[in-house]
Amino acid sequence: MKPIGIPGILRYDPAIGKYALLISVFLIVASCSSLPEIQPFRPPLPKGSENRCEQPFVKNKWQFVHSIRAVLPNGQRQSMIGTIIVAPERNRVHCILMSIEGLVLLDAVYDQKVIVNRAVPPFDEPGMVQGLIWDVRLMFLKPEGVSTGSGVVEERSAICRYKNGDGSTVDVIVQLDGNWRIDQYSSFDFIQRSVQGFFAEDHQTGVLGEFIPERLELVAHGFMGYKLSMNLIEAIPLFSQGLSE
Amino acid sequence: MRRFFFFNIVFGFFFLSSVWAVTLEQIQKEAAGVFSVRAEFIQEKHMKILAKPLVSTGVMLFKSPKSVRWEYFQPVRSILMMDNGRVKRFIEGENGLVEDLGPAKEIMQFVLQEITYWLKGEFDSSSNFTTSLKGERTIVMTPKEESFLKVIERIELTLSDQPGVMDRVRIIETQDTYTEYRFQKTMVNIPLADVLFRKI
Repeated sequence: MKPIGIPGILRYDPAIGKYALLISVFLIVASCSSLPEIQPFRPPLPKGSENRCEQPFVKNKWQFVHSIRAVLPNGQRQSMIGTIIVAPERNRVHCILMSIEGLVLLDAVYDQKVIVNRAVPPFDEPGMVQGLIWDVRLMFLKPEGVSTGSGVVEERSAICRYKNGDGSTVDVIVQLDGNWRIDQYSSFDFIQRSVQGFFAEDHQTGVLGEFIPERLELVAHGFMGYKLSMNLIEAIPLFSQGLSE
Repeated sequence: MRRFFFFNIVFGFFFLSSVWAVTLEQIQKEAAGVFSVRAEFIQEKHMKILAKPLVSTGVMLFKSPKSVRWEYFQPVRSILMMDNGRVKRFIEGENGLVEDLGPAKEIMQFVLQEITYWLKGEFDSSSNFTTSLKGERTIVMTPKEESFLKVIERIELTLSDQPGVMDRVRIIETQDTYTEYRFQKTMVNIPLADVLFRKI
């Protein structure tokens, strides 16, 4: 077939098209699959740099209430109220999703395994419950994997990298302003989840030594991706009140 | 599946009766005399695992025969409107109130349809509950179907001293989990413009 195009400037050859498609796919995949390069900490370090990666994770038992806006894989938007009870010392999370009118859509616990107390469609799909529980754990609990590196990325943001037994990677990145991001990558370094925690500019004070973000945004990447935007309504420190489940 | 979402039926119980009515027939007769209601409400969700109940506040408007506006102010602003059977639901997002087009709309259409039966005291029009009077002040509604009973144990409506006004509705899911709606500043048979049920 004769090449198409303006001679001397740009010619289209079908054979080139085939390769171009492959190259495009490769570039798209490559763009989604790179772990950021970690630069070593260099003095002078910002105050508390060494411990900044710990900041996103709760150290004691809390009850959080959020308003949640979800964009589901089919593009549907749903608003809910979410109550999450996190007990880091037991690696336990209890997640209750309800409609604004008070209907409990999902009541599930992770305590070594996922236990569903109540679920109504579409939250009765086992895969969905499992995914939600893992999302909550990613947001609030320190990664269980082995720490494989720490340092600086993106203009002096602190980063800590954890490698899990299944080959997946979790990067915890904390910016100088306190906002943070947690990225989870598959064993092939494809990004799977991104969580961002945002603090109000005038509300960076901690509660009992812990810093709870006013807003959380989670993006699940991929074909069946979804997005959760969570605004904090209430954070109750259960450990300071002697409250237990 | 729709029946699982029947929790929200509180909307419908607002002014079914008065303390002076002693039979369901009398309740229906009194309800027939009410053509509009406005009341503020406090919604409390109680669960054993919660350190304290989740509290929401809002206002409810009803206009006979089939118009309802159920509006939350806190913690998430949302408006559910039914205008002569047509339902719209709006929830506040980053860009203000946005119409909710998800499956919840279909569910709420069903819920509000049921509500209109109760607002008129027409208990027989709904095949979902067995209704009885407990003392002089409380109407107890029990789901008829086993599958529904697994979700809602019963619903209790506590009547006010004022004819045509409800004090409290409690939707009991289990012994430890229930939603309570307390009504206050109730006004009955006041003029309510149709636009309140059509526009946000």
